[in-house]
Amino acid sequence: MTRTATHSGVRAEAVMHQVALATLPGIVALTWYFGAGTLIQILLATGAAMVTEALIARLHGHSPRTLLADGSALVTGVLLGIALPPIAPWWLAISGGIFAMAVAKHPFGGLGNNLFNPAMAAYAMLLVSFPASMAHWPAPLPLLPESASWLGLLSASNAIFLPAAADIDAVTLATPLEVFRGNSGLLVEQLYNTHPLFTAGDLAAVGWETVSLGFLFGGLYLLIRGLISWHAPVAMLVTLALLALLFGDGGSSASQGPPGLHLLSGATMLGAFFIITDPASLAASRMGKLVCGALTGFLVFAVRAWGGYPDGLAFAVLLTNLCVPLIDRYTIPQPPGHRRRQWLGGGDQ
Amino acid sequence: MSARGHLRGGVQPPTHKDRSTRQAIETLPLPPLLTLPLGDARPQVVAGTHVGKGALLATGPGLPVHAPTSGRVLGMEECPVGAHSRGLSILLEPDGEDRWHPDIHAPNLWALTPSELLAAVHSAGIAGLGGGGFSTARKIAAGERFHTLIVNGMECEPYITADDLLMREQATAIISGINLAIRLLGQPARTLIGIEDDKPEATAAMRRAAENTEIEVVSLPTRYPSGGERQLITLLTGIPIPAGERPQQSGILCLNVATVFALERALIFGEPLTSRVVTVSGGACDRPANFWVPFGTPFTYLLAASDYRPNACAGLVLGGAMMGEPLRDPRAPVTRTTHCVLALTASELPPPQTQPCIRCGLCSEVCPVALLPQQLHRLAQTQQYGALERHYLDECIECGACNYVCPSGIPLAKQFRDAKLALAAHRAERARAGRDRTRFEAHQARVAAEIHARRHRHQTDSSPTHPTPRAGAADLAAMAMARAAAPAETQRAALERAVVATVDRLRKLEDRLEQLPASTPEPQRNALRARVEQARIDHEQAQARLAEQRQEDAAPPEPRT
Amino acid sequence: MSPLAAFDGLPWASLLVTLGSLLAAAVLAWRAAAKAPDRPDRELVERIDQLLPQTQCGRCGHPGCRPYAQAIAAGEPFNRCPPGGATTITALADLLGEAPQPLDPAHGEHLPPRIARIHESECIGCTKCLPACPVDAIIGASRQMHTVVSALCTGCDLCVEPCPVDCIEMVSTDTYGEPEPAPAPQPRAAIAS
Repeated sequence: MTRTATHSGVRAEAVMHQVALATLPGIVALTWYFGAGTLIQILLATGAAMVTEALIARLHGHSPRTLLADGSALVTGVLLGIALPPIAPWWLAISGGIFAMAVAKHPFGGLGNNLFNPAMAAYAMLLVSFPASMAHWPAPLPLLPESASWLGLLSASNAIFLPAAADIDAVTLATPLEVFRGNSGLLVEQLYNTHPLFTAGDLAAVGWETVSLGFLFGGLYLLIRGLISWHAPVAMLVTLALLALLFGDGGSSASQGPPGLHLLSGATMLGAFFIITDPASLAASRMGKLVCGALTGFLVFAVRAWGGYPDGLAFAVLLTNLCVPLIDRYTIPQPPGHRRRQWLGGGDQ
Repeated sequence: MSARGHLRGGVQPPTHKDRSTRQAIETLPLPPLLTLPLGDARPQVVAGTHVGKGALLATGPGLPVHAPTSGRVLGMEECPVGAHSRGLSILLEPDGEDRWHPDIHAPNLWALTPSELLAAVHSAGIAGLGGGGFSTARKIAAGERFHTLIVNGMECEPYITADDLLMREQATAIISGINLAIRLLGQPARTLIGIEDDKPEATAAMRRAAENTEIEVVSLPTRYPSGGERQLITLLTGIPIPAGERPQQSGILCLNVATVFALERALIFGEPLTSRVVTVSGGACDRPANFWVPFGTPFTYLLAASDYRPNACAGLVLGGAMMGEPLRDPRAPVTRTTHCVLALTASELPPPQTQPCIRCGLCSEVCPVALLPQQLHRLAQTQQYGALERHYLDECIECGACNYVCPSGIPLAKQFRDAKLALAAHRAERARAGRDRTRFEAHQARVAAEIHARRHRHQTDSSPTHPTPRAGAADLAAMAMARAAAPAETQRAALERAVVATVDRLRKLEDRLEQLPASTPEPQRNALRARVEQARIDHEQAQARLAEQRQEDAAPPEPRT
Repeated sequence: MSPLAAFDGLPWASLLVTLGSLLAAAVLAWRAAAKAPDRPDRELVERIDQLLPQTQCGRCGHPGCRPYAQAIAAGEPFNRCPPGGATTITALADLLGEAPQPLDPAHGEHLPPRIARIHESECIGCTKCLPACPVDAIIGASRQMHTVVSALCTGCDLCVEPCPVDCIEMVSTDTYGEPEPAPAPQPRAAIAS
């Protein structure tokens, strides 16, 4: 008999389910523009993650239900499924889901103790192991060639489960970040006026902008519900936009892309609201969250502009995760009444 | 006027206050037996004595104990006290007459000096009734140059309405008590009463009573824990109290409304503090209410009076729903710090199962002192005391806001309370080890000095200029001076002898160690090893000193300028 | 293409960022240096000594805790301190970056805190126990009754052996007064009011 205090009634599984729910607008946009493959990827990744988690629970001698009940495997699977290209071969999602649980999460002590974001660790593993398969994104719906139609469940399944037989090259198109990476001779304005991705888009690239806005919308829902704090997402987005502005170079051919492109393409919004806000691998204090967000924003831009990959969210998040213990150590907030700030040089004996 | 500062974090749990505010404060018939815990006081009565109401039963370094009603002292016994401990208590059997002790009379306020007034407050047993239980007189005496008096009528914890009803019914007496407190503090510039805005009746009553005075009644938003002492002071004045200091050191005194009321009874009527208002509430009480309760009344008696249904009750809680502790033995008595007893049903308690921390950080968002409970939780589990200190564990006010929001249902505040105790024990252990080290070093230095003195005495015995055959500790200084003056040649000879002697001792001990029978128990063997090593160290030191001396002899000292 | 080639087209931006980062790094480093508490890296011996219980009992085979700290620093096993027990071994293992080991039973077993107590009726006032005490916690004079200052006793056992009449007994601190009670925790803050 130790229970006394009243409780808000909000439980961990409810938090996780809300996060999964908030990805819905983004998933709808993804499905609309890039086909039903995303849904299959989410199913595969979630299934693999949950089965792996259940097996690990069995290994630990727990009932699989107790571990699965917290909903964290579900969230990891959903986020990984979203991040994968919709027509990636089936074994990518499966091996990613297994990797996320069996390597990135449970060896570190399970939920709350994982150093790295499991979904991003799995994504990065897949990206470095299977770069070709990870680069095939289908063209957004308005840009599909005449011969192809919206990738329904059937055609997406074909591409996913029979990768050898499917002619995926017919439907793929470079992502906006790849377009900018490959650009060498055109001014930003020329690119925006000629490339179909941008001529069809209102803010940035068609399809991608809507997906990003979908995740932004879901993120705002989480913010309003108080399930995430604004510090990390805002710091990341502001840093990214500022860097893009700084290196925009007046829209010359050497430009690294305008801020709008960086904010509304790739995994920026997904990362800002759903990935770096993963509390297990985020700094604890408000100041620490700001630092983490800014660091992620900087690293995302650095990879995009000067790195070897068109998008850098997974690497940026993993590198930031590595810095979290250090950031935590130097950003312990001071209770009221303490005058001396000791955020630097305040180490232990 | 409104709040000057703001509360960081905080939560807004359902208050459940309307349950116990429907009727006025009730007075119950006297219980058959009162149990009065002594604490650190010593009894001043013997078993069988008949005492009047307000008679002094025990005094000590802390607060005195008075008889809450007239009756017969049955004796002393070890009884349950508080939520989970036991303590020596005086048993008083009320005679039902409730007759005042003849010595109780109103003091002549105007004839008393401020320090005599404070003494009167202390001997009337006035203490913080909001839950602290410190002597109010000592709290006042710990500060000086008061510029602000704050009266705490916030009562921010769910269920509790004792202060609410007291303010509704006794507003005039409370204002009169505040005026006395103002006098005790030496006329502070401002006096503020803070009341949460979910108590409009109490606020109105206090405003009416405070008309034509300088006392300001401030209505503050309902948010837990804005009634914490430091939180309320910051809310009302915007002044942060420096860490490690008490508010009174900054010239601010914070008193609870019930304390102020008790102050009035003590100084105007001469009545010691022997009763208080207690809220009895919770879903397992069919008739939640507030009662005027004499100290020593068992909780079972109060619960029975509010139609408590034991079958529906999933947990008895002493104190409020945020900070209260499980009541182990309901026969424990009401004391100064008891403001509430709750009989909660299963649906009012948090779900019992606890999940691992997911580091969601909701706790650090609501923490009123900007701690990082998710970090403290991990550090407390792994007992990392240094890191706990660096994360300001000492600043935790144990308000339980983190418990309230924790989605994993971890009892964080309880854990931090235990961690604070463990940290205090750890500090005491470190202090003890440091003291033992110092004493050991002093012991070694003394032994070394004694050995040296003995050796020196052998040398100087032959010398007529130093007639100190018996070297006491007081002579050590003189001998040290003599040693400095002695010719270097003699010193060197002495050091050479020391080297020979130590090497001799070392050999002997080593031989003894080797010749120990195989059956010798290991600890004894180790003791001998320790002596061998000590001898070796002595030998090395002697050699080092000799080498030093030789160098010194080789190079004549430079003249001082 | 060198990673720096990306800077070629934007001299002002790269200059700004590079100089800015350098400046920021310099400021941070300066602040860290200025604010770092005055804490010279203490000798390993000193740090080991800080973790030992300071009982000075010599059961490790060394005359006191500091000599044992020196021996550990020189490579001796750190599981020879019975009074410290598992807590001390864990702390030492942490400090030395080694795996914790069980207490070496050859040096005795870990017991709950104890202190020495002289049975005063049996004491003959021989003073033999006085020099044995490593912290001078025994008071007495020749042919006068001796007593242990219980608040200062470390429970090292060393006074038991020299006593010719076996009048010194080690008792648990639970039954015979605390050597030094832990400071009372701060009373809980009152919030309910």
